[in-house]
Amino acid sequence: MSNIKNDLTIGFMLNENELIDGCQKGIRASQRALYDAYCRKMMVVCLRYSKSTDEAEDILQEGFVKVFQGIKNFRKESKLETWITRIMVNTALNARRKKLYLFPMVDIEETNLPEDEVSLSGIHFTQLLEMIQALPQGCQIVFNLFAIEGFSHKEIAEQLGISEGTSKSQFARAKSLLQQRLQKESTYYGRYGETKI
Amino acid sequence: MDDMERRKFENAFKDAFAEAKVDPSENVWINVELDLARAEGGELKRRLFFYKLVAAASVAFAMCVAGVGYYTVQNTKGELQLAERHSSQMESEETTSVDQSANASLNESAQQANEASAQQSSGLSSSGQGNQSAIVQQSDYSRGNTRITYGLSPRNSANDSEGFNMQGKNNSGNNVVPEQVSTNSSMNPQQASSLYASTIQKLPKEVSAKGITIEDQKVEPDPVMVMMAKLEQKEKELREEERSEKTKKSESLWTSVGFAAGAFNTVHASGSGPSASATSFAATKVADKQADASGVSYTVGVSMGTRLSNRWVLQGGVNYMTQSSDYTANAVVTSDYNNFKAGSLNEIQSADGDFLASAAYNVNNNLQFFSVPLQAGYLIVDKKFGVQLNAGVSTDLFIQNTITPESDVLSRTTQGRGEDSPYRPVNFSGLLGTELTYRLGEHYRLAVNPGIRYPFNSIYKSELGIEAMPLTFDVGLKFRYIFH
Repeated sequence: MSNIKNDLTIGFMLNENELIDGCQKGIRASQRALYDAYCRKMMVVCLRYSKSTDEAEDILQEGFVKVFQGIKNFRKESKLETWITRIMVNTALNARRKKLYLFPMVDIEETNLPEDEVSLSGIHFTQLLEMIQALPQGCQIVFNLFAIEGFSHKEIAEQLGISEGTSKSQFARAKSLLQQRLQKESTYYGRYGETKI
Repeated sequence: MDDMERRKFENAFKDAFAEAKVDPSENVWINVELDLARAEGGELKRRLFFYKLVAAASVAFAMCVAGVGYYTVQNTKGELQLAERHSSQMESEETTSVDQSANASLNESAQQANEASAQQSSGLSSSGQGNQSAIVQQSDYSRGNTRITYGLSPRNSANDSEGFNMQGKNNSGNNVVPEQVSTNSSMNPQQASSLYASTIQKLPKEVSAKGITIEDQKVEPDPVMVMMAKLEQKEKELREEERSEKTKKSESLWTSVGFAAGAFNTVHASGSGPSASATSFAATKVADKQADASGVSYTVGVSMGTRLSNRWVLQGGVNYMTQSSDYTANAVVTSDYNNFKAGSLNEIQSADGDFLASAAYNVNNNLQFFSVPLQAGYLIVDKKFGVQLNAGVSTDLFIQNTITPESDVLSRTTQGRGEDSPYRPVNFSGLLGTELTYRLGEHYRLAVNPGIRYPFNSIYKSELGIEAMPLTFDVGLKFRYIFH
């Protein structure tokens, strides 16, 4: 069931099923273990949908409370990580919904995307995170949902209550902004000859 | 089209975040735990609220029954008093009616009804003054004769030429105890005149003559009837006494076995923690969580009870009580780094190992007590269905504490009483409850008693710096055997 590491932190390694069972019984230790197992990955998800670390931590906290309250209904039909990610994304969208209402997404004129694809190799994900967080609200969400979560524009349109065209134009805008930023970064590194992180 | 768009660029982003991890601050988990505890606390509060509701409902019920009982007793007393007053009034009225009827008839015949009536109300015993009527009445019920002497003039009525004597058998059927005529002064003129009017019709026509003297023979009660009445009264009293004695004797000593289940909530837990020299932050945190934990309580025991008076009872007994709670520990204790124990106050007190921070795990904390309750009870309703209010104290002797971690690698530990124990060997608690009973037969009664147990002191030793006083709400079921 568990291995004791003879250091100051004694960890008990449980498999996913044991974790789920424990959480379904409301055992705090299992909840903590599940949190420990997924909090770092989920923090990245939350950071992608927010503008700051504080905001991301708020979403993470709310998301995990929902996970522990809703895990009784988890039937193990999907992967636990996928299920938790979905909860985090929904929590993030709910948190941003008010702001989206205040700043509704509108169609953006087609931008001419650069022909050359910019390589991401060698760029640390924290830099990519910063770039995503710097995107306008609507662009940030649509980009995350389309490019990283893998939703189609139709699904995004339904989920956010916007038109499919708006989703596409928001994504195009996000992509354009990111590519411009990446080009700037590569120019900077090329000029000063610094190695990429 | 979507697939076409989601090409190299998008996939590159997806891959970049595939294994990305960022540590959130420790506050996130603390807040998650707080939110969860708040949600669970709400559930516990709801459960506690149920027990409180049961206790409150039973107290309210007891009060209602007491109110109804009090009203019934008062009403019965009132009726008895009213009946007594009524019978005495009847007696006086009957006596008066005899006098009044005589007077009225005489007054009529003498055409001085007003004067006679006034005289009647102010005292009929007066006689021979001015023009006022003078009445001397003598009744003799034993003979069944009435003799009324009446005079109009200040002279002796016996010598009055206009006076006459009347002898009749008017009161042969009355069982009236004669009274002094002066008691009639309590009657008002209207009552008196109406009585005259009703009585005068019963009198012989000869009475209408002017200036009469009625010789009413002395009225005395029929001794047989008086004796019958007295016997009846005595019999009533005896029956009442017998019933009361029977009640007293029927349930004067009993024994009972019982079981109670409930929940306890630590009403006061201070977290100053044990002395910092021997323990770490982890140990203090574990101690706080253990002291704050709420849980369930079970009691099983036997008791004896006796009746002190008609309404008061005294009950005492011995109980075995167990209080179980769960808490989350983030530390383990080890002395040799091979064997590990769950973090608890017991280990802090014994201080024979090191506290090491660990992943969170669940710990069950079970306390066992030998309890000696002593309670006084007041019987609000003492019939087949009984309601009793109980209050008293309980001396709780600590037996042992068992710490059971939910882990295969951590050993279970037991802590008895003694110097190295963090628990006080003796605790005192206040008890308050209601007992709703139902008599099943001559010797058996079933009782349901919701109640609360409030500790007067912390279950932990004072030098530990942590206080915990678990307030317990429980509902018990008792089976009572009545000796006699």
